Amino acid sequence: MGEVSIANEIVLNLVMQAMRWKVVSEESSRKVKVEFFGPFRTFSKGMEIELERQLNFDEFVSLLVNILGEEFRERAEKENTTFILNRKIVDRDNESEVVISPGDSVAFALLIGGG
Amino acid sequence: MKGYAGKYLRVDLTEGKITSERLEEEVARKFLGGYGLVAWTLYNEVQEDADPLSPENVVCLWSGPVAGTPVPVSSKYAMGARSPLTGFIGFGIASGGVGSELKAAGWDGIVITGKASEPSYIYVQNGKAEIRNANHLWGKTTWETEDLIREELCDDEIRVSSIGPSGEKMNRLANITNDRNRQIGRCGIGAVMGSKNLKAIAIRGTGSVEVADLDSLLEFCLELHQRCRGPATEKYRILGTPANVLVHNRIGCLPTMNFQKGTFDQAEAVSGETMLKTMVKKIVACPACEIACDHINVVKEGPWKGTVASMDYESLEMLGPNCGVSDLNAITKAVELCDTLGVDTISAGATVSWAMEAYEKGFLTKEDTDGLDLRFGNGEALVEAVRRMCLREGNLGELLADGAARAAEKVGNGTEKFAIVNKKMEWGAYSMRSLQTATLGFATSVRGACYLRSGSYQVDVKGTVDRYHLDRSRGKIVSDGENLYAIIDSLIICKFTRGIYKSNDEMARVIRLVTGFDVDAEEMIKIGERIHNQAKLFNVRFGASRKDDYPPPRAFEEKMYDDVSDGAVIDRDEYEEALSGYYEARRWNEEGIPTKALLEELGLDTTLGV
Amino acid sequence: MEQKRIIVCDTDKCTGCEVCEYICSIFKERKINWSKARIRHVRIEPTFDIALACRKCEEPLCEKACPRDAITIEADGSIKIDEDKCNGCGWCIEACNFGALKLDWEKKCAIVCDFCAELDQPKCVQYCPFEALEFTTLDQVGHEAGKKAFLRIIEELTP
Repeated sequence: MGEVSIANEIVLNLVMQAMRWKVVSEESSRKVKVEFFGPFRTFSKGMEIELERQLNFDEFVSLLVNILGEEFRERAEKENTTFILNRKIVDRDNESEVVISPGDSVAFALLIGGG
Repeated sequence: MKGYAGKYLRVDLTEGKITSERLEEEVARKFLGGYGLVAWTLYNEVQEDADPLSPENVVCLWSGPVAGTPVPVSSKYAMGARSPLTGFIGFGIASGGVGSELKAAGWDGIVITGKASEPSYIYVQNGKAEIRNANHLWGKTTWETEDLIREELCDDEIRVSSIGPSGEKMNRLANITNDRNRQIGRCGIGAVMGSKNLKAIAIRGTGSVEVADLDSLLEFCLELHQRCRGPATEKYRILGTPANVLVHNRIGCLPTMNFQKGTFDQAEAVSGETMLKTMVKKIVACPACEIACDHINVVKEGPWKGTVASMDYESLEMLGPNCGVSDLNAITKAVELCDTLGVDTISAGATVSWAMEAYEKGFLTKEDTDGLDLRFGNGEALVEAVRRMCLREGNLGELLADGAARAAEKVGNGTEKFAIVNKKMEWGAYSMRSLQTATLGFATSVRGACYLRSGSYQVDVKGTVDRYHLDRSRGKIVSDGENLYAIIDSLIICKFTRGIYKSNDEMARVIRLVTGFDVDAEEMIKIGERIHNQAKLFNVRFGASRKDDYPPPRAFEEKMYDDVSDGAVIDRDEYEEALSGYYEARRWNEEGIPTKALLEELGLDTTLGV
Repeated sequence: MEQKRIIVCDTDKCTGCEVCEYICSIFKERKINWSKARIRHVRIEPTFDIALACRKCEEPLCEKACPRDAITIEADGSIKIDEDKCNGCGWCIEACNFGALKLDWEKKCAIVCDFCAELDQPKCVQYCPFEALEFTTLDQVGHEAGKKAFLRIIEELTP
């Protein structure tokens, strides 16, 4: 009886752990990783934010404005701002088509180049 | 002529003679200045049998019509010769005060032939010039040379372009330094000066610069000054170009460990952000510059305490992440060695990184490296390797002094495959496989691996195109970029100001106000096309063709393996298609040779056309 | 006593761009010739830059030095050079502790900053791209330094 109950306990622990992992990974897949470079670092070096659903660029910036303040909007919308979505650099001419989804990784930077 | 001095110096170092020549208006109208006049001079004066390090090579220095005017960031000059590194047209453009000083002295350029019998330097003044003895300067660093010449001639305002010991030793990576932090960096032009026993060019001018329409030019310039303080130049001003480090890292484009990867796990440690916080002492500007991009680093502690060097993105990246090095102090020291002893930082970085890969893979032993543990990330070894490379010291120094391609040729065993070069010149800090339009520009560049001829990386980093693939349309992007950049490099204005011009017509307006030449935007671009074809013709004379316009094997044969650009590689068929598209856009044949019809249209010599 | 205004350069902001020299020569001489600028940029490597012009000394040494009495002091403290009397001997240039005077070899006389007396304001100050130049009084310079020091303390004390 002792062996079976120990085995049951082990199995129970494993199942509990697995459930916790499932919860954690579900939580992290709702997060969006946001990084800031260059002048954007005056706002923050980086953060993770919760996303319930997909957002477009304007909605996403508004979400960040709630956290970082209204000055962030002006900075983000400047024409020399670069927005990176996962491994794609977003063409600012097509930014209305951009969709940020839970689990994405994004970054704000100044347009770069030269050396 | 307005804008121009209307005359240039011809220096025959063999005979020890200097004469004054007229710059014909027709030539000025066709080639503008700077890069344009360098290409014109070299095409006309460097013959097929002229070995780059022989007296038969010609080295020339040209400013442009805007030098010495208040046009933003106009104090620039170009120097060129047949490159001892590539064998093709070699030239560079540097800022600092030399371009404007030459104009004030009443000269547009200096064309130098032959070889002096002993170390010499040229001293240019208002309306005259002389060759002076430089025995006391031979062996000195570029900074020491500037100080010594100013002392000797009793004038702190003399501008000096000089070579260091590397140029004297005819190191094929040798550069030319002026105003401490400015270089004619690439193509080994410093070695050409060294081969002529020419240590330095010193210039002092106090004359007035004449322009066609001073009032309108002033008004326009003051407007342009304002724009230089705006968003178009913001990225250069605060962090400077080192701001690229973290962004390139984020998008998997930061060449790491000899271009194997596009991300560096210690990117933060060598980022522009960190550099500004911990090392930047001051940001300085060149004459007539309203931007100020020159970040001067000072090392505060450690074995290289007290080192001072100007850090830009390329130098930082090629000697840093590309060598796996995350110690900003070591990188700053390496840059200082390059600037003072006289070797191009980009080529130095890519050559050392080649050696590091060769060492780690066992192709170089500790005996080959004179005992240096030349692994990726070893900052001390980096500094020592650079120093020895500059001075041709020991086995390692001698091996690396002439660049990665020649070093790989000597060592063999397949190490040629990871010498990251085009036309034997080392690649710059833009990842080959994750910025493919940039790569097309690098590989087709007339002077070898370089993006400065076309700026084609811009469409990759703006997200306008798919940077992980190529197609035929990219050719026109490179070609259009080349025509405009040829103008920028001939006027000469700083590329960092390109964003302040709302249109090409505004740039053409600068030409009209300074020179009085009635040029509109379309005609201006045509001049750019002509200049680019002139440079290309020089290369054709020395056997350049399609075979020389490819990135190195790593681009095609190895996939990237980092967090972002995992799996990226250049598809050979896509590349061939893009290259053909480039030649088509340029109106050259499939081998990349200009046609006779095109050369006729541009008013160029048709001998080498097809 | 009226406060004398001079051109003061913030060495932290000065980048050595020499735009002040271009602007001065164009506005004062209608020529592009920075050798004729009345403001002088000095750089001490590697990172020290300053632009200097006449300081309207309380006891001007240039006036004392001039052997031909070509130099007089205006009501606002600025230096006036009589171009007819001046023969370009340069004794005033040696006397000045700040290198504020120069020789104009075409006019064959000394030149010095007159603070753009005939214009609305000193042009170098107006057009310095880095706002490193100010047309101000020494009292004001002192006052600003005090304010800056105090602000720094406030910043450090406030969490």
